[in-house]
Amino acid sequence: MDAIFGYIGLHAPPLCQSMYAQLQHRGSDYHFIEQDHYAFGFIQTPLSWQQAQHHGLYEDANLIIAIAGFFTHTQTTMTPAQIAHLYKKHGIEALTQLSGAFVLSIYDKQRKHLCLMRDGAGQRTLYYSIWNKRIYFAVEPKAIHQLPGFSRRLRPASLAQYFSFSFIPEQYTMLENIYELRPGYYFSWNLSTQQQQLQRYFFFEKDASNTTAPHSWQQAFLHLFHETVADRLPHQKEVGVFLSGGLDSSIVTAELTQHQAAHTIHTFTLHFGKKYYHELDYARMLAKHCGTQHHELLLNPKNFLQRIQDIIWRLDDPIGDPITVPNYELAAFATQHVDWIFNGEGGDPCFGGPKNFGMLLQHWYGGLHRSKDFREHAYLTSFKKAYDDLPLLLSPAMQAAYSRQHDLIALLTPYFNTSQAENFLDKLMAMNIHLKGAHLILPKVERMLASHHLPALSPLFDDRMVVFSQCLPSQLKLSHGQEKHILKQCFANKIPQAIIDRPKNGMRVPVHFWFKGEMRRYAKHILSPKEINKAGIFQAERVKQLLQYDVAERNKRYGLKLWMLLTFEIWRRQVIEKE
Amino acid sequence: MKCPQCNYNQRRKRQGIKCIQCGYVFVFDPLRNDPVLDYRMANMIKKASSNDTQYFTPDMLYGLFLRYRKHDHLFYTAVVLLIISAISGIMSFNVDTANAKSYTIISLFFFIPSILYYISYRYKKVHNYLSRKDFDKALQKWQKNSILSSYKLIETPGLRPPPDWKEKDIFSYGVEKIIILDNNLSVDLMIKNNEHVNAKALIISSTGYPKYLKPILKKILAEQTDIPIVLLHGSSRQAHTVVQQFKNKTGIDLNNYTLQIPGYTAEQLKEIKYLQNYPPEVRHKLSLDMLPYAATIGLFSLSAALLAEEFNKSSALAYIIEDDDFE
Repeated sequence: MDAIFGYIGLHAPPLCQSMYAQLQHRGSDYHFIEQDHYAFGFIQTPLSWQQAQHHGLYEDANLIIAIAGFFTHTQTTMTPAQIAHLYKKHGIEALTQLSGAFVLSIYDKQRKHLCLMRDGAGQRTLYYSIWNKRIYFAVEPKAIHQLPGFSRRLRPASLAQYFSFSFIPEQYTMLENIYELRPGYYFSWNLSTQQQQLQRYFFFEKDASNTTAPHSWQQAFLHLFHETVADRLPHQKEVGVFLSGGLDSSIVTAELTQHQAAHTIHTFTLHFGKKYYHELDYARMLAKHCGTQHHELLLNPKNFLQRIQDIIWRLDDPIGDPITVPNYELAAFATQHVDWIFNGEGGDPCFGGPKNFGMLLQHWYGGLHRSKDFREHAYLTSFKKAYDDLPLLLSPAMQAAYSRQHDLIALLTPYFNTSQAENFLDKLMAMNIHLKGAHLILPKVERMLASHHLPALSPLFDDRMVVFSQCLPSQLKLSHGQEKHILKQCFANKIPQAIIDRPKNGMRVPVHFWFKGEMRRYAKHILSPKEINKAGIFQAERVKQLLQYDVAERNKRYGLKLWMLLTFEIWRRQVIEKE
Repeated sequence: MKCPQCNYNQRRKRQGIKCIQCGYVFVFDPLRNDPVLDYRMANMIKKASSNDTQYFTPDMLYGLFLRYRKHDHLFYTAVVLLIISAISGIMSFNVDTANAKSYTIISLFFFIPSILYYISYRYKKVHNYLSRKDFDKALQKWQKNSILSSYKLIETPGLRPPPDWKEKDIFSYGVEKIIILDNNLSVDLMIKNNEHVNAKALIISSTGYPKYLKPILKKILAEQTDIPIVLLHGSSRQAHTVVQQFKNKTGIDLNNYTLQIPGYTAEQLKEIKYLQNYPPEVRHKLSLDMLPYAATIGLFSLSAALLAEEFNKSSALAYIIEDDDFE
């Protein structure tokens, strides 16, 4: 997938080549604009992409623009030159109207002013860091943290967040002084004054309250979905879909068949062997129904363990969800057949994911001891990761270095106290989009697919879809004990009823069993007491208990905790220790 | 007796009932023939509360006392004696006549005690267990006097209506299933442990407790006519009596809905290896909470179809328990 990177700063030694070296897995066709105090780089995707005119580098006497990704809606033919024209005429405000999956950087040479921007939903990611009066930016953190002179210090609060959510929310990363630009924000920085400003421009909650209800929500959804799929389609090419057998990927496949009648659609499903839970039957049923060319991939640790270091390096800022490896492996498999892959990401956060019923039910009973931040606590617990385990897992030094109240609770409180949503469900949905959507789902799929030069095409996570979902009456999201009610209504006659009726299960990566079997030796090697004690981040005794599947506390979840530990530890050795 | 606080092995007669190492004051006294000692009680509570991370009921704790009875040493002694006896018996056939007699005597010498040990093991397994009455007394004494008494123990039902939330849609979306339990205390147990959240279910007892949920339940049943209803009851009751009680208390006839009743007769429980230490008379009046906790949760987490297929198999509970940890 295409990429941008660069830096601004006085008397800068040339670093473009070093930055590109960390991103070269994204493509070999790259361009630089490098001057005394600035450099902009762009990596061209090897695919001939219909929206290719969108991205790239542009320079004139006053401006430099670097854009990665694509625009949608009415801006599907927008070029970097037109963006420059818009900016000159109306300033940054004009760019806040852009829609699509993009990141851009724009440098005003005369004002010495840099602006970085990320799309509204967060389909693309951009990182930045400022040190020694210089700002660096890139689509992956490794292009920054591997630069000479960058001090790679672990941010303890991020560690606590990672083990609570399995990702790091808001603008932070696992390292001090590297920031992720939040979705729907732009960041501006002035070289002369060193002034910086982070500004939100995409207010989907507010946009939702200003929207007039359509005559038929179902018709409006179908129309919008048709558009978001069409905006992402390559011309006259075969496309593929990651088909899990769940509702979201099934409706994406069904919708694609409407657009691609003349071309074969390939569907790709992954499973972990017959003895583990799988959804192959549902996926096959849908593939048969839609007439796709269906492919199945068996994944087990024997296949990927030899590549796990590389996968985690590609993932970079750690994400502790074990679904990352299946994404990576399925993308590698899919590239043998197609160059464009659609996915069903976005259905959960936008139309009612599995956490919402649980969070609502937290409020149904009284007579329980509830602290004033019980909602925040319940939300953190709902991720079912290692939030409860932090006091036992992290070393005393690490525990002293973060504040539960400030770094975990306080970042959730504004979402619960917002006045922009009246309904509790809408508050939850907004949180899911802001947090899990922007910092786990989208970056994970983007980076895993980019490793194989594939663009991540998520029509259900289009920024217009995000606004639409917030406008949608909540009874059309959750209704009568059912999630994603509107999706089920709209596709009731278009996909097999069994897929509509089936309960949500998600992809269950059998890490619980893997760490007892095929991955046990590897995990014991990476998480050996010697290494754990040397690093001083975790309590070796607790790690040992997890490895031995011998924990007395209630929420054991050995597999997931070990996966998060393994991912972090490999990342730490690669990035911080530079092993 | 072992100190539950510092693990020091205190000698009661010489050192008294205050731990000489950490100052812990023992609640139970072996000289007064207390049926349980501090170390065991503390350990069982630790297990029942999963190290103070889970609420538990007296029934749940009693179930643990029954499951973790220590008679295994009798069994293993019987096995060792039997092996020695067998070896001696075999040797008697392979040596000359003079020595054969000696080996036969040795073989019998070990064989008889091995049988006695085994009989003793079987007898104790069936008869020698902590009675419910003694357990209740001991628990009361522990909760009243021990500095290690548990705040996770639920002794009385205490659910009340929730506060008025500022958002008005809290009850608007229904639930995925309804779970009916045959006693009020089990409802408290499940709610306090957040099992309703995990199962996305409304949990209510067969007496309609907590009462404020009745109108919400009626609304759900009217709107979700095919909602699965899981009915769980102990082995002392039969499903139809629970259904009748529910009808009497709430006016709702469950026979009009999709009802799943996953097991819990004494015969079914007998087949589960985890429960083989339960004496038969206990198995016949087993409350829900006396099953391994993960099994109860598993029963309403799994689909009825799976239960129908799996419940009678010995692997069923192992599957359920593993599923609890499954990501």
